Amino acid sequence: MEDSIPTDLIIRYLSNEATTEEAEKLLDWVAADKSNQKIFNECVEAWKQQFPLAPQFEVSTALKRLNERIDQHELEVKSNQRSFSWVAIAASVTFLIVAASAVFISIQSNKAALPVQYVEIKTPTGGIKSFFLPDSTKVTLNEKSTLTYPASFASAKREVSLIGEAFFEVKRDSLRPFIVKTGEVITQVLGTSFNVQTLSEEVVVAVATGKVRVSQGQESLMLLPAEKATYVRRVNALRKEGVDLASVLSWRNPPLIFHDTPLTEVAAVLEKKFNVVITFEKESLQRCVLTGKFKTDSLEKVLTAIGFSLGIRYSQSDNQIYLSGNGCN
Amino acid sequence: MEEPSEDHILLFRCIQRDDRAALNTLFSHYYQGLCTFAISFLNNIEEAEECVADVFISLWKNRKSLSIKSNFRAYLYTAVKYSAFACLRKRRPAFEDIDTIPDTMAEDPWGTEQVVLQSELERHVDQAIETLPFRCRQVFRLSRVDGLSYKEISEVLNISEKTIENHLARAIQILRKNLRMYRKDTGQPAALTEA
Repeated sequence: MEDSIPTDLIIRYLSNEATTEEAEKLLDWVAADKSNQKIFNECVEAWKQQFPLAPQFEVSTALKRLNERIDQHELEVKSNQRSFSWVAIAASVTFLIVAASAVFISIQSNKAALPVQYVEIKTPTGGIKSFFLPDSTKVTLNEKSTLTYPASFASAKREVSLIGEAFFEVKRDSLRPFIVKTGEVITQVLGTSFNVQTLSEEVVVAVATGKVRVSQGQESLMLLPAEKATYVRRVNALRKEGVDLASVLSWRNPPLIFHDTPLTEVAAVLEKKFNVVITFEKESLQRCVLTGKFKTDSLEKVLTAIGFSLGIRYSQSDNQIYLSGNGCN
Repeated sequence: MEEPSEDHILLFRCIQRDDRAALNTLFSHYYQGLCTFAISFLNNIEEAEECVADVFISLWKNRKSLSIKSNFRAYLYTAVKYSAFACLRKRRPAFEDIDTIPDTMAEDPWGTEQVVLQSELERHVDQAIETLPFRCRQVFRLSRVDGLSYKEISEVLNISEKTIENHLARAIQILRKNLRMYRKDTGQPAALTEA
């Protein structure tokens, strides 16, 4: 019995290496027998086990140290170059004049080399974060993404760099363009809102409001609302097309997931999300627990789904929701 | 399913054009994964952090001359591996083969600093994962947590894709048995689908 388990198929499926045929073959095997199903579930569970907690490394401190070490290195490189030019200058007749300007230039370049402090915001799996940049631009960062920006923006432009996906609502400032760098693709705007998604092979920029310029190398495109630009790395080209904004932006409303969650907690989440007040008919309702995944596009749908699984009815007037039913033990 | 393989070669090209922010972004993105990978060789937090930072410093210093043709993520992990080896060479006798680090070295890889409230089951599984052989756990972690593909792992650890699959199969079997034994001990239902 145990010998006939297609372990290699299961492993390939779990580690994302299975071809479509392999996946189908595996699903056939799983569907063939209740005990197969059980074995498969056990494997999935074993695969999903959390690792013993690794120490959490302090990225911000490490990042600071890294930049200090690089600054140090750059300064050394600069002073080496300077002593080289010293030799050349010594041979020159216009020794004094050139030396004076060399000193002046080195002061200037040292000024320019002042280390810029960067802030980086990183989201974990399942964690979406909204925050404001120093210029009041609002950023919503999707899960597993990283945004890096200077602690204070330069006077000529506002530049950030992104891995993953984010929605930007840019504070208008016609003197300082807002620039998002994602690898080779640069997105430049003055004040508008748009979504940037970086994938391993593609960068997709979709515009919600305003005008956006997307450029890559010499090529550049102007985008208007409900248009998107796709850069495909393999063919090294930018393409413009229309886009369904609702689906592009749907990641900002992830489904609610409950696992044996007391109904009182569920209610608190819904109250906050939909800005309503939820009251229970009787106390026994509060003892119910809920498990499941709910799309959050409308409160009605969520309430109906909850009603089905727990035998609860709801009524609504304005922002008041009233739950009634037999409740749970 | 799991996350798609991501390759940040584009950001590396920015670094080649002196873009320090791109370096910062990459560093932040990979820091946790690379440090944890380095710890699997070094078993020491400070050394692991140092050796990851060294990789990024040298990436910056050599940005103009480096040509990374293969997968960038695999390049980073491989570089950290060699950086860790260099660190090991500094502190261990030169003749010791670093590919045969004894399993005992990894017995308590995460130190005892982390006091975490865990459920009985989590603690049990943690112990099971820690009993996995060194290489087996390393492969399991790279695949399952860091999301590297077989091809990437094969490049980083210099082992065949078949070997990777065998390591993963072994890990799953051990963990699965463990979960079953645990359930038997505590009388919990064995699986959701049991009729």
